[in-house]
Amino acid sequence: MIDIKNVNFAYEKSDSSKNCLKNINLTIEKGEFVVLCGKSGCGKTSITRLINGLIPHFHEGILTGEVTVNGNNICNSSLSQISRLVGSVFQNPRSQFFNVDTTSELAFGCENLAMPVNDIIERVSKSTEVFKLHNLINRSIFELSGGEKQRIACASVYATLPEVFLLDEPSSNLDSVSIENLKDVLKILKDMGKTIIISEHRLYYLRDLANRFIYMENGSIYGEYSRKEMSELCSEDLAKKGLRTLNLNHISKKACENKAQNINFNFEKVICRRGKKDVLNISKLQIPKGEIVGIIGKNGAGKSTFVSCFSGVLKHKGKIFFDGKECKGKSRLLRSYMVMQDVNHQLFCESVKEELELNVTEDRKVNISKILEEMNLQKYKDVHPLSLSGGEKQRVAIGSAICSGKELLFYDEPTSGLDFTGMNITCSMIKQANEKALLSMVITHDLEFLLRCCTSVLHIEDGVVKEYYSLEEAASIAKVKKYFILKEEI
Amino acid sequence: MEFNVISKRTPLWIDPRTKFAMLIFIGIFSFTIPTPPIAIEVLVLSMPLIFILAYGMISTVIKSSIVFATLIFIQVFITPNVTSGYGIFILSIFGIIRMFFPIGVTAILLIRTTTVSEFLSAFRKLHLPDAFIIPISVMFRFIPTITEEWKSISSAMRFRGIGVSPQNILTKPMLTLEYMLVPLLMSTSTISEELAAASLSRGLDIGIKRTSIKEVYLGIIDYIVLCFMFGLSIAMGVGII
Repeated sequence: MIDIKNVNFAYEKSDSSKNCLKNINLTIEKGEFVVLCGKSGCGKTSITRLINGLIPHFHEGILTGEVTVNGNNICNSSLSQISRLVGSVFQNPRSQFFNVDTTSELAFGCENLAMPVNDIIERVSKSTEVFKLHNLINRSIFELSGGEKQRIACASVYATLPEVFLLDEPSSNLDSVSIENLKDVLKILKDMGKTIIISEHRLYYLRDLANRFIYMENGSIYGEYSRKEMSELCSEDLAKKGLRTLNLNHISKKACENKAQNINFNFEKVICRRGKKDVLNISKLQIPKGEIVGIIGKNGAGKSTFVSCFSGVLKHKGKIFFDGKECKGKSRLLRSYMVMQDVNHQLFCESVKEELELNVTEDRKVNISKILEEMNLQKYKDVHPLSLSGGEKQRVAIGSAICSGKELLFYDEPTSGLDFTGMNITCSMIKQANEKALLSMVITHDLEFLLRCCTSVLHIEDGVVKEYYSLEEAASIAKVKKYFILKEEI
Repeated sequence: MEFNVISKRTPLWIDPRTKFAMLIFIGIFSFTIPTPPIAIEVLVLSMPLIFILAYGMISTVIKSSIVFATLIFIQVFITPNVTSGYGIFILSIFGIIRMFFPIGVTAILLIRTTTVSEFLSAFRKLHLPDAFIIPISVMFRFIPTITEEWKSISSAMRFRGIGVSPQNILTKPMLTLEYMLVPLLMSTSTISEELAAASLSRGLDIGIKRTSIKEVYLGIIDYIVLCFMFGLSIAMGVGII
């Protein structure tokens, strides 16, 4: 079905040997389910771009070798011809929809094939049925959750009935329920005999579906593993390769030093309304100082609203006390800092050093060079922060929080789309930053990360605190595992 | 401000071409007639408001009516009594707001009730070239995206104490603008590249034939609106109004 022969590729814009493909040979049969895995920047995404023709038609560079899909040479076909054969689902749900409403998006691919309107309507209703989207029809794309968006993306690709499905890190922004749904969708496609190629960091949900795992390093294919071989790799092997776990059950809790002290943060009847609905309603909650709290809950449960209220950016009713004294939103805002999911939103200056100095005032001495060193940013001191890699940007953001003396640190899904190595670095950074802070709170859908980094768990569902528990005892660890592992697996 | 597009068609649905005509008409009307009779102005503004109401955006209609009534009130009861230079300066700002207000309301109608695929087919019916149609449609697709991005950037700015507050705008306007624009441009350029890649790989391209499940067509209501605007333009041109 897909044949990649002696392919070398280097992006035109990139200056280094990074981000290129070297001597790739890969044959994928019809009906196969292949997972591309490896560290960030290993070339997984570039391989998917070879197959859907974005290389060489959109991303320009030097390409040698031959790529054929179903006998058609990719170089000689136009993108719209390739799109009949290969359907692509991308990583970022906010930038893969051309339309602003779901129904148009489902029809979009078919419309581009100039199919008769009646046929399109039939295809759309068929996709709606297969992917169980009845409650999502005729909705605005912007009001959907990440998981719903990813389902729409899969269904709209399905509507054009391509032979090959190509998915680039589809689970990055999904909660555990949505990942389970995605898995069901992939199973449907596999049972139809479609060829599926998926580039992914999270491997556990693909364990039972994949026929083959292709492991990549520095732009080359380093190894191929069958499902059985892959499941026999022990966690040390995976860690060495920078891969995430294959089985959530195998994750064990890493000891986290808990410097928690007495109860220090008190929430009383904190309510936040949007329209006529209470999106957050916390009648009572106490959190000790010094914790790293993992905030869990479904997409749209109110986790972000909680963080926005606590940090003082969003107005709310009710009171929040620090050490028994009421602390108003404005003064909380002065003491808080949030590391956003998209760190590009929070880097404002022309060099890393300036970025760190932005909030340093005369009356408060800060040792910038020490923090640069601690964050391993010394060599980037004079570099523009936006030219750094994702992980480095995150470090700059956390560094600037420390420099500005913030005491309440919030993180919004800091490990989405990170490989094992990247996750570990983020983890140790958060712990390090917490040394100087009063409290850290991390919104996360990543069990592997949670068990490595957090000292307690705050579970929010439908805007209400379902539970708050410390992660010290085995019973509470089992509890959080149970939340993430939906189906009992052996 | 919410920018969710309402995709369901109402009985008072009009073709995007009519909405464009309305935008152009109201634009010309606002700029060529500085002080129209209030009755005519209300008539003109009520045109987009009726269609916005038909889409169920009641709060938008109420809010715009209140703002407009206030602006009229200022013109009728306050303007004649102000003589000081400073007062006239402030009033002229209100005058400019009033000039742009109907245009803004019509833009809301256009943006919030037209789906991208409707834009595409409306432009195609006007026989405009693809190289123009696709970027323009993407631009409309971009408006809600930018508002989403902006929400998160502005809260990031507030965490750093450089938020868009009156104090920061007055004391360091250029720096505040820079802090706003750098991340906004960065994230929108990334999104636009990803969006282009996604649309191309789904078969959208210049020169391809395309169908649309949501055909646009000029119906009775469109003709009524177009005739109304045409009549009003003639009346203005001849000098009746």
